[in-house]
Amino acid sequence: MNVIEAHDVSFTYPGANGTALRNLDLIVKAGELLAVIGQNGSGKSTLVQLLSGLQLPSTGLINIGNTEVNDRNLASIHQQVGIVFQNPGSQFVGSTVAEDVAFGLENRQVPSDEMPAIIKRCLQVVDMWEYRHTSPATLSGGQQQRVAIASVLALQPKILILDEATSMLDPLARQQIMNLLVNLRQQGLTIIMVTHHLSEAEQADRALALNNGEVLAEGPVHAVLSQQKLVQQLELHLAPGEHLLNQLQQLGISTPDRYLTTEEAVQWLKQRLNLTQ
Amino acid sequence: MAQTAIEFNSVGYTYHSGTSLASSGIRDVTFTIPSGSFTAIIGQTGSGKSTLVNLIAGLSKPTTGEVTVLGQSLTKQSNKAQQAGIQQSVGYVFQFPEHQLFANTVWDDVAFGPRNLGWSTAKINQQVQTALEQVNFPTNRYQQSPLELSGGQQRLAAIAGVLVMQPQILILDEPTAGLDSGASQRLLLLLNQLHQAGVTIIMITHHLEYVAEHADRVMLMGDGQLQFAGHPQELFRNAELMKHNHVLPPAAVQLGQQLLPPGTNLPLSLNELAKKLATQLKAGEQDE
Amino acid sequence: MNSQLVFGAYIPLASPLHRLDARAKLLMCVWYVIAVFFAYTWWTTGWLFLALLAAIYLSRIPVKMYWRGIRPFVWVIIITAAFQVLFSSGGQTYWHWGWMSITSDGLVNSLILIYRFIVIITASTVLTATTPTLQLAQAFSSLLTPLKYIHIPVDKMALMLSIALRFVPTIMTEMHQIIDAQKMRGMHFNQGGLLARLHHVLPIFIPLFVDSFQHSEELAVAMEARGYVAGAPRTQFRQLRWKGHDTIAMVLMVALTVGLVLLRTYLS
Repeated sequence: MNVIEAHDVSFTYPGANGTALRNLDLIVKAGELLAVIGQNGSGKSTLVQLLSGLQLPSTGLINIGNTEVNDRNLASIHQQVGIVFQNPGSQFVGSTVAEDVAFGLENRQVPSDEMPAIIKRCLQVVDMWEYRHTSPATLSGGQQQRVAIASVLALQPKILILDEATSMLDPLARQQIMNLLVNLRQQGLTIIMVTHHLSEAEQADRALALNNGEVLAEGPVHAVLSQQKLVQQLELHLAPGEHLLNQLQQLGISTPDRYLTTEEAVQWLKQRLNLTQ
Repeated sequence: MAQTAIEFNSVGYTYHSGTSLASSGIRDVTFTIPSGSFTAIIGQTGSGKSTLVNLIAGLSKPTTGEVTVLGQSLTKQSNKAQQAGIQQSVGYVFQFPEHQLFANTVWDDVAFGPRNLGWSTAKINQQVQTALEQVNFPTNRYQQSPLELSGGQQRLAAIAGVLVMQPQILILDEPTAGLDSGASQRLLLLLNQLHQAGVTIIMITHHLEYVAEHADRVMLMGDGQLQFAGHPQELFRNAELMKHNHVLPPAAVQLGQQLLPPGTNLPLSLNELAKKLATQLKAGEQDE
Repeated sequence: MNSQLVFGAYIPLASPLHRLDARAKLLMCVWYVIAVFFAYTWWTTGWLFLALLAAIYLSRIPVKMYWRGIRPFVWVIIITAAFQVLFSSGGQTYWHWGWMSITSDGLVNSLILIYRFIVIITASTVLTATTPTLQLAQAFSSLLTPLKYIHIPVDKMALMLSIALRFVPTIMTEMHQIIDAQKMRGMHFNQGGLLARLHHVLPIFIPLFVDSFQHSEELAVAMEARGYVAGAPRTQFRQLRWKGHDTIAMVLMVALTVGLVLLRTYLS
């Protein structure tokens, strides 16, 4: 089942002279993890805003589920799409973690007596339940982003979008968020993740590479990431496995042509080392 | 022997001291940092890293013990002038330093510090020029408003605004946060150049890759105390200590542990690991 | 962890005041502030000050924290008090020059002004430090419900107020960092004449303004994405519950007022 269908979508910011996004076609299937990669200004954030109904396409058509994104359906779009933003510090409304998760529920007019159970479940999913009485302002960036994810999950979206949500976090926090996303995908959630880090993108099912508002490549993650020139052009943070294989190749060792995730690279090297030892 | 740039003698710092909400930033910290070294400070959020560098920068006074920076000492009794003395010889690039840009043009913003110090116009112009060149700031944008720049350029402008003061000690708090890979690499290159020019560099970072490749000393903070100070290699060998303080070893160490025979000296960078693996793989090929 | 204890910030503790209903606290605070304007003798001001000390004690928040809340306002208070002294007349005249004079009435008035500033700021800090901001907003809109019938957007105003309060700690943290950063670039905030000091305001307030603007824009988008529509009906996570101790608090408030009236009438 397709949860997102975008057809020939373009977008120009009011008053801007360039198009932020041109002729985009995109299909996202239910339960997929899609990585969106590209440099700053490539159109990634524009795409996120269009998919979440925060902006409307200048031309073209976007369907989320069976709902067309237009100004009459925004409530339904917001209900289906949850979004976590880049800056952990400016997404909070509540003065405690629990109250913040409640904010969205209040907007949805969820009855008060149903809220505690939902809040508990969502905070447990992101492993932040013990912080429910804490002020979000005192948490670390990684913890704040986990609360932001819980706040979004409480609204039971079909699609979770993370707009560079890990770019301000340290490697350990990034890893925790990534593990969390992989778990959520296993439970059937559709996830779109905008990232600069190949170590994150490589864990996706599909990848969409944007450059100057145009689609550079789209497809299964291995196929997209195997295009070395593309990866270099986008100045992404390399995954350790990829970095290691690149170095080996420069040292005259032949490595596979296709992209290997770090895990696969380790497996491949282990095999090579065992065979040759 | 290298001179000592910074010395901490049983230094403690308590927030809200004297109230029931007192919380300790750091406790009983003792160390020295040699002049001209490149020191990385690592540790979890809330481990006391920022408290530590605020003391080095002269922004706060220790609640106990004594801090000495470039021969100037600071204790609980010190006055504002003594703090200002230290502040003047230390440069501090805060996290997301672009948030401090305020002037109408990049040039004026960089000139802010020198003007505060009352340098002559000729000297100011010359130093601003040098600082902007040092960070490789695009020449055609000197007169642009900082608000019109990309994030990476804003960061460079902000760093130039610190370098222009010609600090002997440069503190950076997570300087590559939010930058893409290219910009991060260029920034680290700049730090290496400054290091070679004799500036004492202190960098707070979560990226142990950077620590492995650039720092000659590392200090690990945990629970407000100094858990380790010494050579990065020595720390990375101590997996137990790193795990205890929630620090991820660099990728090279993680991968090395899986790929190299037990007991091998663990490589600190992926390039080093690649060299070791290449030798092994080539030796294997010749055996066949 | 260290910077959230400022004016307007909620401090999560388990004190008797924290347990009170937000409406009770809001009412008491407003009531108290009004009462302050009826006190200008030693006895009455002392009486209200005593009540404030009791509230501070019951909040379990250290007095030093309240001092931190007042500190940013010290200059405003001093300047206003100085104007009060110089430009009001009446009573005995000690000194005068042109328009300006120092009189006994002027001195008394400025003392009362300082007193009012300090107790009002502290009383509101007691309120905000012991009440989570969203509950405060709820109390605000619940108490002003009658105004809805004359089409005043009470809920919207309440949420705006709570968000403004919620941003105070963030903005204070940022301000401190910007001040530190500019200090490291050789700026000395406390040096030079008035003009030099005003000049120092720009390198702090411009970045702070840009930041706050960006924050609020980001927050607005985040709120919209989480289904907030201004003016639309919402449910409430925390039901405000009026309990026995809230009634007791109101009775104490009445007692305080009675005491004030008695002191005004018989001991002036």
